[in-house]
Amino acid sequence: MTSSNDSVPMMRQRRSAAVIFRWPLLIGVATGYGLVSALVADGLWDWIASLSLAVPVALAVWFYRRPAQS
Amino acid sequence: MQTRTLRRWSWVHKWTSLICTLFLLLMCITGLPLIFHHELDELLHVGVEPANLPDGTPPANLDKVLASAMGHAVGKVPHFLVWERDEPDVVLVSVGPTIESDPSKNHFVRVDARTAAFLDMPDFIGRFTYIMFRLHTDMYAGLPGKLFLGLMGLLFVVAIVSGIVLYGPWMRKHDFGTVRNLGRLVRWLDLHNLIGVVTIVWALVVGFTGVINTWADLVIKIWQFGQLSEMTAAYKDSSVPTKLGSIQAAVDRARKEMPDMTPSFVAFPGSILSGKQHYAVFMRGDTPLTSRTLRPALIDATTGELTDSRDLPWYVTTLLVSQPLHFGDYGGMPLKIVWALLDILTMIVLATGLYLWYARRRSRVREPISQLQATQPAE
Repeated sequence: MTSSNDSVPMMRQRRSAAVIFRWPLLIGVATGYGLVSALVADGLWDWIASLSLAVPVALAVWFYRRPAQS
Repeated sequence: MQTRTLRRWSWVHKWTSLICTLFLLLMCITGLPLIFHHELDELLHVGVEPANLPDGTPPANLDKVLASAMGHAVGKVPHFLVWERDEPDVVLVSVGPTIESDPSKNHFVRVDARTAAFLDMPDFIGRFTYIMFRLHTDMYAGLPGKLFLGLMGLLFVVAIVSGIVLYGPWMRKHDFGTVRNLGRLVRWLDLHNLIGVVTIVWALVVGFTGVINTWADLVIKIWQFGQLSEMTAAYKDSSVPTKLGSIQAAVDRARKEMPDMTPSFVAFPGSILSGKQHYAVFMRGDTPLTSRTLRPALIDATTGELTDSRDLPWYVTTLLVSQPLHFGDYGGMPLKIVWALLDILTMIVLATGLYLWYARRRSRVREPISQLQATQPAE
């Protein structure tokens, strides 16, 4: 698929599925890692697991508090 | 994606969400305190503490522990003897009016694991955490209630999947994390999309493991008729012996069979988790994962001989492993706190979703799908 920027200069680029799902996929991997690693290991790993599970929470708060876009 | 396909997914998302949302909100609200049920129980109820003894004090003989418990549960019979993960110095004896009675109505006698002294027999039925638990698991409606909530959980899973499908085309025009300030409706739509998409994996895992948990009673029934009856086939026509042999000897025998494992609980002969003639000693491993899975040893309650010991079938193991993934109780306090935050985020997704449906219906604002179409040529 070619970029639509050349043919329609005024139109903002329509994002491909790869771009749209890049962040959700990374967040999903972090969540999955957190869920599983706390299950198979203890101690320090519990903290790392909790931190990676906190990634979606932190992102939601960050984007919510960011000055709104129009 | 074709407009018609998109419209179909939109329909699926709308209806699966609408049907399950109120119940899912109930799950999120009651689930929140349940994450901290242990802490809440300690805070709200004074239990008798076990004696303060030096570490390494050997455990008391289990026959003494049992006698001590039954001395305070006159007219009742023991169903299970349980070592609690959170309270290693306490042994719980679960007692009911008869061995055939419904174990979910059992009382628990707490006994000091090292002195065999009776601690207390708390009435937890009126407890806040118990009320939350019942509302969360079956809404006080027994097995039908459980299965109904399981169905709602399945709809929730479908709602999430259809939400992902709709998210793709919708986000072609927006950067990840866009929250526009164009009035409440748009703002809440963006928040619904943002929070929904970051919580996908957690919500899918907790949602689906919750569904699996609603099948627990059925899974146990299948195990009873399957593996358990195979293991006790030779005792098919026997009845529960009137005089039981030593429970300590039964646990010792199971330990000898599985020296690397720790006893988790013992099911008494005739209870739902054992044969009529056997103590079923359920052993667990010591790593975080293997401590969640169990292996029973069936000990003849009259002779004290080992009859059989097998790994549980995959469907019981699936149930056991799905439990921590639903409860979030396997990574200490930090994990519980994150679990609670994700629970709150899920509530926001549910509430904004409900609001969006209501507001759109009222103002007849067209669906995002038609907006997508309208904004295609020029922006």
